[in-house]
Amino acid sequence: MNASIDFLDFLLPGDATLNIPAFSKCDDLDSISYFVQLFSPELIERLSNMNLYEYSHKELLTEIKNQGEDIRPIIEKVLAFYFSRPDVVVPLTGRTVPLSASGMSKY
Amino acid sequence: MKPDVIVVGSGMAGAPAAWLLAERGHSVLLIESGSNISPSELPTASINWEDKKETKFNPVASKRKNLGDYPVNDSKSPIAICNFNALGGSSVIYSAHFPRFLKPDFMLKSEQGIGVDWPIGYDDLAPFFEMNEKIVRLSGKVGDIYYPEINKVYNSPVPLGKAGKILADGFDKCNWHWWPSYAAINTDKNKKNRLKCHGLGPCNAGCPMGAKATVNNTYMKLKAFKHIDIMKETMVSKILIQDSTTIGVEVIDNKGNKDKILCETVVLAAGAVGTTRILLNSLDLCKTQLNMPGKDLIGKNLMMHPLGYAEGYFEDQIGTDKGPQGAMLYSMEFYRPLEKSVDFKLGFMMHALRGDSPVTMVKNLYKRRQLKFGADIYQQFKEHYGHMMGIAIICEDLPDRSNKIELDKDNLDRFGVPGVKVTYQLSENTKKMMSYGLIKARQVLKLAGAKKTSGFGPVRNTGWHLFGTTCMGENPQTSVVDSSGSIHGLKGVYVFDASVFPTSSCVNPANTIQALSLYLSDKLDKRLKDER
Repeated sequence: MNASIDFLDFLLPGDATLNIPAFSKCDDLDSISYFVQLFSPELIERLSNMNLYEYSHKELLTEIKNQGEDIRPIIEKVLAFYFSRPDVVVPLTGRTVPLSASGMSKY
Repeated sequence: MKPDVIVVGSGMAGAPAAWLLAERGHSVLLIESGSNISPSELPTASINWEDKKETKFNPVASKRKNLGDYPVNDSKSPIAICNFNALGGSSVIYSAHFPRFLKPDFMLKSEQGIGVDWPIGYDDLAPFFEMNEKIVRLSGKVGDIYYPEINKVYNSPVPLGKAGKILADGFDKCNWHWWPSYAAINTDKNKKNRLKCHGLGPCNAGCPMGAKATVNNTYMKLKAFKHIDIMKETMVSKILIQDSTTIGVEVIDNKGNKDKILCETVVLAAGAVGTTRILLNSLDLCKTQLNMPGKDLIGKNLMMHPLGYAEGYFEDQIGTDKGPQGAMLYSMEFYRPLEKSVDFKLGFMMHALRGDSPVTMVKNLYKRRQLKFGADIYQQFKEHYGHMMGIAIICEDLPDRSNKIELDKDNLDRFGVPGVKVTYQLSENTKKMMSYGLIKARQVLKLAGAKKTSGFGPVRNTGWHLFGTTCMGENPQTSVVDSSGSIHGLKGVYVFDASVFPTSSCVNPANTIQALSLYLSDKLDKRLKDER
């Protein structure tokens, strides 16, 4: 379980300057558990045996792909979740979530 | 009590038809396969609105499995079928770009020597365009040279915003036509049922404030609509036919209970896919021999608006995260291109689009293998969000019998009724048109100041505009319905939606669908009164 969370936090580490949390801190534990369940035991095993920080992000994704794992569906779900959280979207866009008329008088 | 008229489908075409007939004193039963969706259920009222937009509110019929949906196999088409089955139909999640078809669109054969002429003309529809635009309270600006007949609008144009001004400048540098979009959006003052647009952006995720005109907040709020009986979550599986005449419809409710509703006049307005499915299934199950010369044309001549997409990246924030995504400005410069080098017939509209929402933007970058992960992702997000602008190249399609909708007996809905399969290919003419359009769109984006541009097409999930599968014409050998929408050789069955369009134009069809539905309903009203 930790290997998959470490992996997702490696991809989406947050930004302290912008006050954006890392993936595993962006929502309650139940939602994060859902994403952990998307990882197969084999993939978790592989990730456990890798030192993530020895790779660039691109190299890591290529390495996983070379090992025959298609993680695109997981990443798409992760991105859709992370970039819809208010604590991620509001600092990045200034827009409220859900969308509201606040601040929309000029466009 | 037996209704005077059954209208099947409560969307763009069905709701105006039901209203006009009720307004003229007929008893109307409106049947809708989908459910009613309250404003608070629309995606943008939730945190996970982009996820909802891709699941329950996904316009792609094959990806959505709501109560009113049925199987659509579009794997043999480069463009996915898009629609929405709910009370209000696709009007719930359309983009509200609301131009009229142009005068020459009704005379394609006469003017261009290809395609066919409509059996009715622009002037026949003109009073019904005006009626419709008053009801939806059209926004826009009078004076476009391509629309000299439009002399009244009911709301100011949707503001161009920073992006629109930049793009308009690009068009001016090219000396190309552009005009602020005609839109079915309330821009001026809060009105009953419809608040003023605050520019939240994604009209195609539904508009909880009602600024966007749907049939739910326009036609369904008119007085006469109160007299209409509405049967929701009920599918019409077939038309009941006896001696080449309809005697009613068979319906199945959401629990699977079958019933027969008797009525001598049935109006189909379930969109090109839904209407075609009902007709094909009815004829497939009909045990008597029908004298319908155009029977084999049902489902054929499917036309779409193949869409190419050009995108520009601007170094400055240009505010494309705000404002109705599909209503900014359009250009008809290439409606009929004059350049001698052009090697295709007909033409296209350029339709400016504001930028993507957060999740869509990030997922697009990922799909294009451009997304940076790690600490850089946040900076990359800020450098792109509100910095992108698109131009859709909306190509005029031509009727081709090999492009078709058929029953799919291998894919049944939950009640055992066949779904549909779609066979569609882009013509060589469309491919050339789209390539040319993408070059022109990138040219104008560059002149508007885009640092980078890209383009591709056809875009898969854009099969919103579907036409031609029950083509209208006076010759029963070459058409399915006559100029009153009545099916040749099948008494009492009418088609009032875009499936009767003989040609497709290159502009968004919502306004023309509604005007045509009103026109045909007006004719039906007179016919019913004459028959009494």
